Amino acid sequence: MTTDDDAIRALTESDPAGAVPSFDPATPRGRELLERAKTIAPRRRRGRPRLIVIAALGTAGLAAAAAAFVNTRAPDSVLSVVCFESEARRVGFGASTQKASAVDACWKFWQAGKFSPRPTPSRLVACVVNGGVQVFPGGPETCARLRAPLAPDDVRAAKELVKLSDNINASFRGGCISPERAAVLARKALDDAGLDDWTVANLGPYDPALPCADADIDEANHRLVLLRDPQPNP
Amino acid sequence: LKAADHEGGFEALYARFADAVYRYAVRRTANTADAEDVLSETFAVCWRRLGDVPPGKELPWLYGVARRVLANQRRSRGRMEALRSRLQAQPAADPGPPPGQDSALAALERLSEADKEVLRLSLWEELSPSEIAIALDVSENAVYIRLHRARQRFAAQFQKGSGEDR
Repeated sequence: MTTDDDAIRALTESDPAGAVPSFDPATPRGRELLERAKTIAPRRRRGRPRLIVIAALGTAGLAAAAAAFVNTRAPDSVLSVVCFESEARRVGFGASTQKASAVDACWKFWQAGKFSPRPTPSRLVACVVNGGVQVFPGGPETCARLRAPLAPDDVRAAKELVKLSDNINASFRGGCISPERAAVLARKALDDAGLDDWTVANLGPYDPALPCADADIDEANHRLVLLRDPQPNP
Repeated sequence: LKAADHEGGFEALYARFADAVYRYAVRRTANTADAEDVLSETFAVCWRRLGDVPPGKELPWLYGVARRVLANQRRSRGRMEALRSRLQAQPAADPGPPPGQDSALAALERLSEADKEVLRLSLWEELSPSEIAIALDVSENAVYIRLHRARQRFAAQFQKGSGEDR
């Protein structure tokens, strides 16, 4: 017969981090993650989208970014993009485009040798990440790895998806959202993003232990999918 | 803060607490790459809100940030993965009990997220109740109550698992 103390002792000794080597912040990897933290920090500021990209430049080209963002009162038709050196190394350049796709907007930095000495990649891909468009070397699998929707080539469509991503992040954060409430929020998120031709698919399945809903963008099928939130009452 | 002070203060916090935050994340993601993401995101918030970090209580404050980063990741970054796996294998049967169900970890998994978190903070992060209160943004009294109940529920689950094994 185990006692409560035995049980607690067993749990204490089951620490999954016990076998993991210490993280040394002074190593190159530690420094890289530190710089990444500084670089991504301003990106989440809500309500100040144009600072997002400029601040995301980090060490690699504030001047270029400033030039790209001279027009800080850009019309709504302008898509702001961050062109990153790689998935792992989130240092890059800000761009804005009204006509060219996000990928095309970023090619110019590569072609101009701005990421030198890194070789020009064979392809780039644009993903909608945390309410913004980010472009990385690679293909659609890169967005899949980031668990982010692919950004459409069309600037207007990309902006709509960014807006939808923002709307979802704002509506579905914090607390348990019932499937009924989620359906209302999902429809509103779509309408506010101008995606009134998209549908809402409520797939669940919900149960008493996992009654909360979360939303996923299914960009291929133009629908917002509501699923059972795997984390009850986070 | 002047820019240099801000940067110096931030880097000092990172040097002192990065390992603890990383280990916090490893315990909850079971994946070192994801843990690195959580580390970066947590310190990104720290960089932005350096003036809000309570002196002497930096680590529980960082744990509280990391907890919210993890919750946000589950939502925003987990969406596509959840969707794709769900669409590929719908309807999914409920997963069976994890292997080694008599283990302490399996018993922990059977608890609610709130119970799990308070136990992990107490036993693995070794926070005091007042520090847990900062990390969870609740009162210290609430922590005592939660901790007491979580320990009881965990022990019951653990013993249940042990009993089933016999």
